[in-house]
Amino acid sequence: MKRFLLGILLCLCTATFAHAQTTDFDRFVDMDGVTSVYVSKAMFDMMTDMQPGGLDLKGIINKLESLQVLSSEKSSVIEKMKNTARHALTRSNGYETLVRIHDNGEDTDIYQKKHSDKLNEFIVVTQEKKEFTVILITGRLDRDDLKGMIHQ
Amino acid sequence: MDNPEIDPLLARFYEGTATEAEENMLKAYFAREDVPPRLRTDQAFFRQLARTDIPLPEGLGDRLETLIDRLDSKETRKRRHRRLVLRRTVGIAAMFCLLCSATAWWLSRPSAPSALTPQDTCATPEEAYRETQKALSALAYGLNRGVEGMKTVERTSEKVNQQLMQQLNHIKNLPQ
Repeated sequence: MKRFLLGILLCLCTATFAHAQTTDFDRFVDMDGVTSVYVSKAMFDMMTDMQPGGLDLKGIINKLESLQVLSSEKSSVIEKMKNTARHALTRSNGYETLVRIHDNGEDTDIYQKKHSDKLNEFIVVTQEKKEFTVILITGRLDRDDLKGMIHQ
Repeated sequence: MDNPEIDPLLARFYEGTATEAEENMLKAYFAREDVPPRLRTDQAFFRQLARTDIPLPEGLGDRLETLIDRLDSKETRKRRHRRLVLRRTVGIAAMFCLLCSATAWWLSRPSAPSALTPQDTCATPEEAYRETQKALSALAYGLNRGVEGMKTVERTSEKVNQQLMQQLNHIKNLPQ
């Protein structure tokens, strides 16, 4: 009886723990020294008719699920973010490296992860001289959408 | 002495329909000595019935007491066991109901925004649009650089191929 109850308790704890985890970078959202931007699907739905100028997002906006930008200029936080990126963005976790750029002291890596139901996750990790930025874009962007963005 | 009334009385006694007075009459008759030989067996029976000083076997009282105590304790153990089983079953059922209720409550509660669930940081759709443009521009820039790199590789490969063909033609045209 005790073992049965213990087993049920463990299952509930595991379920709770699993429910709480979203991405590896979520812990930086409220961290001191981190600038965080988050745009949800609901906010994207409010933007469908907007065209203020710059990159034309018509046709892409309604395919986006979420956008998160995390940046920091604090060296201790930058170190933590780098470590998280190094451990999380691996092939074993489903991430594929698309591009690595090293240009005038600025490093940019772009990763892609394919989820079920044609959902894609793009992560842009940029290391500048004093700033580290992680951009997480989730949506149903296909090759044509990416080509359209590249040629703009 | 043979009494013609005795036979019907006897018959009623054995049928269980004789009255108390009739039973007493039979007892009084069979207490006599001049009972006909054919009724001697009945006489022995009625004399046994009439006896008040039947000796009890030795230790019968104690043996009966022990037997009663044993039967009683068996009955008590059975009752206790049944009660225990019932209590355990009810306990397990109650625990199961509690778990089901807790699980149903947990699953039905509205998902409250937690510290780990990101919330919209932009106050207006316009601000969110600008942030989205910046983010997608960074992605487009990176992918563009990647495509340019591929084009550089293609151009370099072409040049290498051309030079290789030139060298091969030169070798072909050499006098044998």
